[in-house]
Amino acid sequence: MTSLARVSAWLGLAAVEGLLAMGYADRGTWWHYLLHQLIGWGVGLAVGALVARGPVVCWLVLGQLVSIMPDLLFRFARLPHAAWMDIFIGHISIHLAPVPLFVAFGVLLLGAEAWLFGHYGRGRPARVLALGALVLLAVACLLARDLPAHLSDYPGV
Amino acid sequence: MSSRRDVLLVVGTQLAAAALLLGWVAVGGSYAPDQGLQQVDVLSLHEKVPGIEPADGKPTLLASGGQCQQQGQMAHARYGRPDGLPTTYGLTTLDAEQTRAVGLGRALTSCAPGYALIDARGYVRYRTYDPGFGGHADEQRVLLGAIR
Repeated sequence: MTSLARVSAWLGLAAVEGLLAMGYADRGTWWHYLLHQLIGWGVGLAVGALVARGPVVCWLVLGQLVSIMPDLLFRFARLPHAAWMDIFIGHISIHLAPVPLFVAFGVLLLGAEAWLFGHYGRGRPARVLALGALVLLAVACLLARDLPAHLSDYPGV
Repeated sequence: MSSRRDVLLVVGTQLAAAALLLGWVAVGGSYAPDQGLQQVDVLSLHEKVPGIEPADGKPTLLASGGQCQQQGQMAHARYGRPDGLPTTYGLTTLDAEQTRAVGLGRALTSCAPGYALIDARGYVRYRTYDPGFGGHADEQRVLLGAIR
């Protein structure tokens, strides 16, 4: 790939990321942006560390895409969120998990450190950290409250 | 070269995430607005509430009553319909009792605008606080379209 093509690709990616962030901010859903991007990046890096191949940017973007897929379906396929969308790395349950933003940041840190350990040839700690990221997310989703089925289920009602 | 770039990207991602989180907290952002249920866009409710009826038998957006300018009658007077919300959907402002009945009681005591959505048969299907609800017709249209 020529330098010009490489620079163009990076600029294009940065522009898409900026548009994505603006889209969330415009809809008053910045909290959701933080939550899903951090989890997507973290899971992408953790899986990248376990697979131990491929450019890291691909793992970051792939994780992010999976994490925000329900939001893309909402925006472009006009499909409301539903419980089955938890298949996209806990997209629904994570909203109702204990301290969701801390969980998301924890998943990102574990995934990132896993990838860095793997990158420097420390396979065992890399795998432990990567699995830790995935387990942290799974446990948080398992501990999440159920979606409200009645108005009385809402907090403060 | 690409190896060094990958490391920088991973470290930069962590720093960017930390900066985004700190920025969110610095501007007063909540760790879990409305305990994670604000604008979660899941139609998990199916409940009749006495006194709550759809406007003209159409799926209807019920705007919370309240004291600040984004709410209820004051919002209607100032903004009209949420920009882009088609007239195929109803729009009603709730009184205080109805606002409490659909789980939006905080709107009555603080500036916390919210809305509920009911289907054409009058079942409440969704309720959320949304500080910018007057400008979120696109989101409301998707949800109303799904509860026809």
